[in-house]
Amino acid sequence: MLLREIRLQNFRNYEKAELCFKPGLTLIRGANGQGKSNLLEAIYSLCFAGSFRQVRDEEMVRFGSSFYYLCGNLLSNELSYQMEVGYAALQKRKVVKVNGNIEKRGKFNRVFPVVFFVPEDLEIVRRGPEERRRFLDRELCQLSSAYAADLNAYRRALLQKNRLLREQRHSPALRELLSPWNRQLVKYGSRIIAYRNQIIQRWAEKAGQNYRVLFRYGHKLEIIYHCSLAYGRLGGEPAADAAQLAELMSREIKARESEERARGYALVGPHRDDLFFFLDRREARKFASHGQQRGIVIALKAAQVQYYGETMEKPLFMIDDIFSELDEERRRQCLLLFEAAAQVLMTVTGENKETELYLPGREAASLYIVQSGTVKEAKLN
Amino acid sequence: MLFSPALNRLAEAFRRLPGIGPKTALRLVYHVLSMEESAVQEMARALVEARRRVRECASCRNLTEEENCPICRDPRRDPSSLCVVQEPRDVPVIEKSGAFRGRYFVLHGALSPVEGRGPAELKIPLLLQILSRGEVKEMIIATNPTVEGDATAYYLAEKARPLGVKVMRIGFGLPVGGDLEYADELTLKRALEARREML
Repeated sequence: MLLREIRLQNFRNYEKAELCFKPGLTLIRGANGQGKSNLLEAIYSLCFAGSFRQVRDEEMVRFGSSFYYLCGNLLSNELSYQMEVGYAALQKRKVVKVNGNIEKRGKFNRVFPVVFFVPEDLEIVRRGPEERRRFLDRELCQLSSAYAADLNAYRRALLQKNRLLREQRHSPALRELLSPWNRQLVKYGSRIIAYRNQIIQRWAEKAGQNYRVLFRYGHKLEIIYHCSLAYGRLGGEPAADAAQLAELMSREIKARESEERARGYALVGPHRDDLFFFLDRREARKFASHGQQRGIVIALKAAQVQYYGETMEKPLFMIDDIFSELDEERRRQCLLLFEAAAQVLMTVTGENKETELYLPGREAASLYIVQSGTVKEAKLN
Repeated sequence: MLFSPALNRLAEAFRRLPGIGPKTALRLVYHVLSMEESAVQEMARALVEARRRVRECASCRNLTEEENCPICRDPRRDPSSLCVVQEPRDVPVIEKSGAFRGRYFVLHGALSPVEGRGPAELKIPLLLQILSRGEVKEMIIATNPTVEGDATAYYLAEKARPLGVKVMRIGFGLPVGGDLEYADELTLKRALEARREML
């Protein structure tokens, strides 16, 4: 996918801005607080307009104005899409147009292959399982609308079951009502686990290789999908299909029935799963340095980029502030990984050694300089 | 703001209807003012009468003005086949198809613990009582294909099977006369899951 141009009006700190992009690497340079990240956010909002990805529209309207408007042109699978997003703050009304046609909200479910790295993504490694599940679900929903539908149904059934589990503690008669919800949880949950397992295995392979590129004499990175069902881990083993998983999950629910009743919430299912990151078999959350943790997330994001490239089309890769905590060599190696993207948009602060920033084998990078809400194209020298 | 308390009250009353916001309510208020008084009275009577006369059929819970609804009283309907639907509005839809000649049971909702709807609220005990009389041989569950509708179907199936009733779930799939390409992915997925061998 290629983003060719974007125009912003009253978006965050931009009154008006217009940018054109080429394939390959584009650097967006500026000091802190000038609006680099806002630019990437605008692109993100445009690409995911009308999709299930939630964006907080009110916050994006420039201070003192009543609306924002974004429009841009992108090319996906050799077709061009003229995207427009407008949001009126007072009416709380959002209009999405694709090629001039108004899309009913949520109806435009063409999802463009975009991978976005933001500093908060480091929490995937550093923080708890909830962040990891959120990351996982967000990215998998983008890959598969069937996954998104299963996840929705699963969450609904889980909500209902948890309500019953809470209330049965003082009215035991409710217990007989649990089984229809369990059946639904098993049906949707097993499909969710199977898909997670399948994709994570593909990501993990690639991320392991990517980590080797970043840290040439470094540790071995393993990413393992930890499924709360009986056997604990699924990674490495031949992919269990949804039917087997359903069987397993159904047995596990039965086995832990009394425990669930006592605790008052559901203990079995993909909502309890986790993703483990190991460096040489030691858990990265506890033992890896900040630089290494950053390396892990970069390796994972690059794996997503590569996966898109292999299964759909080469994606747009947006990278916000990736270089802090990385040394010179890591930065250079990093750029090697981005080759799998059709286009890379990257924010940078300083001016150090930017002349070295080339995507190998491609034309030289372009550069935009951002200063308090204005953007200027410049030459790299 | 309206300067008449009576109009304010009317606007507020309209707003209790589904899909009516403050602006639509005002438009309706002004329209009512422009109507003949007799027409307004007719309308008011129709509202009250409908509310007063219509009740649930004692055997199927469909809406009716008598003790039993016309379908339950019709001797030509097949008493061995029972179709369970979620809402009263589902009955005329199935009736229009002309493909079902049995009787109905209307749940008035689906199981939903978060909304406080359990089997008692849906009068499932009454349904089970009907089934245990032995007249019904086949029950077709036509609740909506949502998480709650499916859960209700599972629950009913579990309860009905020990009573010796054959439990069927209504089929889900492609709209007839439509092109495959226009079906949404979820419908197609469900249609593929419910594929049948051709005989």
